[in-house]
Amino acid sequence: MDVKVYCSFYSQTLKKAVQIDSVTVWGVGSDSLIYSNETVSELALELNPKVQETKYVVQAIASGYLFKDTLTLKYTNQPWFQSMECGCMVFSTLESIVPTGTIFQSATILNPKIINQKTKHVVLNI
Amino acid sequence: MSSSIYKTLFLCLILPATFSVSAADKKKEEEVVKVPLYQGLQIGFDLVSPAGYLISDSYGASIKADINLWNKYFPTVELGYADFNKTSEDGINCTSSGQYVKVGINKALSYGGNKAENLFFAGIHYGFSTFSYNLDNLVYYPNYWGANSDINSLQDQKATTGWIELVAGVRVLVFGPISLGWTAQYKSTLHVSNGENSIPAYIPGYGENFKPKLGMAFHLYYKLPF
Repeated sequence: MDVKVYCSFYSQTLKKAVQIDSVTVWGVGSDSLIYSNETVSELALELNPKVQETKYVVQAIASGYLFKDTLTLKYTNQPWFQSMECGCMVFSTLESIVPTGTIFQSATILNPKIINQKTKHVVLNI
Repeated sequence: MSSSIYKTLFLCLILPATFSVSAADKKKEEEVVKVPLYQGLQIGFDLVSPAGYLISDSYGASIKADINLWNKYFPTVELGYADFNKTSEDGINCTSSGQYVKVGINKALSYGGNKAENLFFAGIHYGFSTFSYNLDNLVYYPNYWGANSDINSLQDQKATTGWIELVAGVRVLVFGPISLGWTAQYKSTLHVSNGENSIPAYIPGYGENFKPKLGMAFHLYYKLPF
């Protein structure tokens, strides 16, 4: 029952979905790693329910070089009561996602509704 | 033998059978005509819901009416009100109240008495409710950020729900116009319109919001004198 933003990767050169090697991801302001030096075909990122802007650092190693990009996500929040057993969660409506441009050239929002269903929300263009 | 003799023999065999079929039809017709259309109206009062808080998290009241047609079909309508107050193990408190209506038809599977005073029946009903509810002391699902929304309660959430019930039960004459009835219910929601920020935890007339579910009803009936 996770509420996450699912971001896939698209290579504008190869004209297809791709995966990225040696990816490490963490939230700005958090010490925990979401991904630690992994090969991933998509990112699943949780939004901070207390604020309306969340930043994630995406680090990748390619050809021996370290690349870092910061994704800034802006959104509005809405609490959602699921059941007496499951409690509450926070749904969001994504307004924008902007990379710094080091790894990702741009981002496209496919579905701005971030709820407890896995679907493609964002495409990060490489 | 000549053909005319054959014809006569044939007619002698056919005619009695024709008369006996007509006689059987007439007797059947007479039996059907014997049971009038309107056989009475019973008003029922829910005996369990008013004492609900003693045994559950909800209480309420309802009144129902069913019409006896031919001792065979019993169209029924029920109007009710229910109230709910429950706190989960995590401390979330839900209070809900609203009205409901059920309409349906029961069919007699067997009966005793001229006007089906004792009855074993099965039926199908449709229930509908509009209601409001409040949620307090909200507990949030843990997340990566370890942070929760500042919203601690959701007030005046409104919802509407429709459901279907398959029922089976008995009604037994106690004395005079008074009967008692037990009904087993198999229920499932058909449509639920959620609150603005929530899924309703309780539906008046239906119970806690999961499907399918079983229920039981116990009614006191009064047969009207007309």
